[in-house]
Amino acid sequence: MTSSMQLAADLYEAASDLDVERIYVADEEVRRFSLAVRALQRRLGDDAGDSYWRPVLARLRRVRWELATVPLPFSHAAFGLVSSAAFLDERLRECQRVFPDHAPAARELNQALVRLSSGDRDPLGVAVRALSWKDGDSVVVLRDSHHAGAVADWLGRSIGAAVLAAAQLVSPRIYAEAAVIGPASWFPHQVFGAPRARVIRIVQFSWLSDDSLDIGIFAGSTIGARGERASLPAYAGDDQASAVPSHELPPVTDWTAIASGTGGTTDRRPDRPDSVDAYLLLLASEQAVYLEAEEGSRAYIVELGSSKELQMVATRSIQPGAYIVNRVGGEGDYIPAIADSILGGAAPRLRATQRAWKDRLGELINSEGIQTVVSDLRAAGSPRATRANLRRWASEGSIRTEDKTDFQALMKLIGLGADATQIWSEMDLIDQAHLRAGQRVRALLVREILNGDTRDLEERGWQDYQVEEIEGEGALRVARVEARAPETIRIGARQTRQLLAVERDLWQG
Amino acid sequence: MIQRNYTATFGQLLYRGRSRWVPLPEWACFLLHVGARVAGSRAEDGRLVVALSLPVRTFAAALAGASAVVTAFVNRPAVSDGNEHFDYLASLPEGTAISHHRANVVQQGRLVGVETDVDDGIPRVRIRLRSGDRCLPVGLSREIQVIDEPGTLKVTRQKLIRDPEFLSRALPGIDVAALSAKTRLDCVLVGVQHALQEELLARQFGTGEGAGIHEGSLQGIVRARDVTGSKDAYRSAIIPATSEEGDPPVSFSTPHVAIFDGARAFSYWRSRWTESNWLVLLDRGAPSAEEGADAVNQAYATRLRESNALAGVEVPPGVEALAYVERR
Repeated sequence: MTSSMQLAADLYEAASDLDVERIYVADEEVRRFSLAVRALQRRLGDDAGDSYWRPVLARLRRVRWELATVPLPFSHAAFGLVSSAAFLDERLRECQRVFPDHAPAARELNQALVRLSSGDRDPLGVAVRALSWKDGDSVVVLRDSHHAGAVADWLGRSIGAAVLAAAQLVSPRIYAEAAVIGPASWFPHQVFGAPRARVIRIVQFSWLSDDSLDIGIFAGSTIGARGERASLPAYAGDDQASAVPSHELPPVTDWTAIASGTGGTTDRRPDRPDSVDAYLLLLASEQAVYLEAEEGSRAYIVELGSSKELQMVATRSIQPGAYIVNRVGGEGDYIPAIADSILGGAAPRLRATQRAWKDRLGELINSEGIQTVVSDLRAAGSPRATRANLRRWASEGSIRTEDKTDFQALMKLIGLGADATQIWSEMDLIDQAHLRAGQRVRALLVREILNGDTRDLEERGWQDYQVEEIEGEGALRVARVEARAPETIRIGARQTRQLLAVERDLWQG
Repeated sequence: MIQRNYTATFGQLLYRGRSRWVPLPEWACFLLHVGARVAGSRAEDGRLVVALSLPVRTFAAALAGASAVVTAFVNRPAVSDGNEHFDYLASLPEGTAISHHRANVVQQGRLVGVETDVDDGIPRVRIRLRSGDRCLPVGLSREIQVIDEPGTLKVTRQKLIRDPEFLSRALPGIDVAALSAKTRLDCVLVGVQHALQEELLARQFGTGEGAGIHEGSLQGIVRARDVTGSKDAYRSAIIPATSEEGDPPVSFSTPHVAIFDGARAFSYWRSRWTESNWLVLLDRGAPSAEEGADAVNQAYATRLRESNALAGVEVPPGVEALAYVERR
C-alpha cells in the first residue's frame, strides 16, 4: 500500500480521541451455566487431569467461552449446543459408576446445557442491536474468527455493521463505532492501543470481571494527556459473590495433547538423530505446523497492518498475529518442491545424490557418535567441524556446507572423497535452485499480498495461492498464527513445515 | 497547544491533506522535536534511549530522521573532508569508474572496495589502476574521484538538490547545498526497507502558502544512501531490519543516531551502534509491539538513570514516551 500522511493523521486522531465504555449484559442462565462449569472444575481437583474428564472439561470450557464471546442465539447451529449436549451425555453415561461422587454435578451441568440449547435467547446480540449504529461505518469485533461468518450473516447485515475478529482489525480503515464482544482483557493490546474506531463499546456479561484498561506498554512512561481517555478502571462484576474472573474463561490450549497427536513430544530422551527441536504454531486455518528451532532457521512472514510487511525472519521471532507461508498437501517445505520443478529432469538424480551422502553421514554419526565424527572431521581438515555444525550438515534442510574445505573433509570421512568435487557441483545446482525458488515465492507474495487485495485473507485468516511449480495441488497457504507453544517440541525432521489437523477442543476448550 | 515551533531549524512544513495542503499535525511536529533532541543530546556516561509507542509507525522514522540529520549537521561540523569522502567511496559498488590524481598524473581505474589491514587496523580504499592496485587511507582518499566512464575523464556531476525551493524553505538558515553535497553517516534508520524508502520518497510534503506551494520529499533532508538509485552524497542509511547476516554499512563515521523502526528492528540490531543515541519506535497496532516493549522495559529496568531529554516537549495524545540513559 502507499504510505499516506493523511491516513497516519487519521489513525493518530482515532487514538487520541478514543472513547471507551462498558455495556453490561445480564443473563441468569448463562451465569448459572458458567458458574456450574467453574464449580465442577474445582470439585474435580486433581481428577480434572484424568483422561475421562479432560475431553468433558474441554468441551464445557469451549461452550462457555463461545457463549460469552459470540453474539448469536443459543439455538444457532454455529454453537452446536445440541451436539455438545449429546457428546457430554455420551461421555458422562458411565460417570455414576466411575466417579459416583461427581455424577450429580456433571448431570446437572449437562441439563443446564440442554436447557440453553433449547432456548432461543440471544442476550449479547440483543445488546448489540440496541446500540445506535451508523450504517456502513460500524464494526462488531469478536475475540476469535471462527464464528465471524455466522455473526456477519445473522447480526452484521441487519445492523449494517462489519464483523471482524480482533486479529483482523489491522487494516487502516477507521470506523465511527465498534462493539467489542467480551471483557477488554480478552483482546489483543492493539484493539484499544491502536484503535480502528473513534468509539469502542465493550459488550460483556455483567457477571464477568475485567482488568483496568491502559494503552501504555512501557514502564515509567508518559502518555499524551488526551490519549488517557482510552483508559478504564477495573470492573469486579455486578455481584462480587457470584462474579467470574474473566481470566478464567479463555480457552486453555492443551499443547501436550496437540504435540502427541501430531507426532511430537516434549521428552528429549532418547535424542533421535532424525528429530529436531521445533516451534509448534496453531493457525487460523485450524491447523498446526512445526518450524525448526535451530539457529539460522528462517521463514517468510507477512504482517498486515497500517503497512504490509513481507520479511524473512528467524523462526524464533514468529509470534501470533503474523501470517506464515506453508505448502498445501505433499510432504515438507515448499521451497524444495519448487526447486525440484526448476531442476526439471535432473531433480531425481541430484536429490538421490543428496540423500545418499546424508544417509552415509547419518549412519556414521549413529555408529560412531557425534563427538567422534567431529574429531575425525577436524583431523580430516574441516576447520568448522563442531557438534552444532555437524548436526546442521546432517539435517535435511542443509544442502551442503558453506565452505568447500568442510565438504571435502565430510566426503572423505564417509568414503566419497574421490567424488567430492562432483558432488559439490551437484549440491551447488540444488542450492541455486533453492535460491531461485525463494525468489519466485517472494515475487508471488509481493504480487498477491503486498500489491494485492488482502481483504479475504484478513477476514478468513488464511488463503491459498496457486503455484504452478508445485506438483499436485500446487498451492501455498498463507495463514495467520493464532498461538504458539510456550516450549519447543521434539519432532521428526520430515514433519516440520507440514500442515497438520488439530482437534478443536484441544485448542478452543 | 500544538507545538509548531518544533525545532529552530525547520520552517513550517505542510503535508498533502484530503483536499489541500495543511500544516503538520501535532504528532508529526513531536517526532521532529524528538529527532532533534536525540541527535542533540550527548551524555558522557552512556547512551540516550528514547522509546515511543505509537498508534501507527508510518512516517515516524522518516520525520525523526530528518530532524536528526539536520541537527547533527548544525551541531557537528565535519571533522575533515577526508572522512566524508572516504565514507562516500565506501558506499559505491565494486567496479565504479574512478580517476586517481597524484601530482601531475591522472590515471583511470575501478574501485575495488574498502578493507581494513589486518596488521595496522587502518581502513583503506582499494582501487585498481592499469599500473596495479593502490590502497589509500582516509587521508589520501580525496585523490580518488568518481568519473562517468573511463575515457571521458569527466568527473560525475549530478543535480545536487532536487527540490531547492522546498528545501530552502523547509530549512531556513541552513546551507542546504552543503547539507546535500557532503557525505557523512549521521543517522541509521533500521526497519522494513521498502516501507522506509516509500516514506522517504513520498512527495507529500510542502512549504509555502496559497498557490505557491513547493512540494518535496523527506529524502531531500534525510538523504538516505542509495535510495534514489543514484550515488548522491548521503547523510543516513537504511538498514533492513531482518538481514541478520548482513553487516552495517562500511563507514568511517559513527552515526550519532540509530532509529529502530519497529520491534523487529530493535530485537535484531540493538547490539550495534552502541556509541550512538537510540530512538525506538513501536507500533501498538503491530503484533510484535509487546515483544519490543518487553525489550525496552528490560533495558529500562537496568538503566543508568532517567533522562530529561524530552523535558519541555509535550507528548501528544495517543503517544507514549520514555527516555533514559543506559550504559554503553
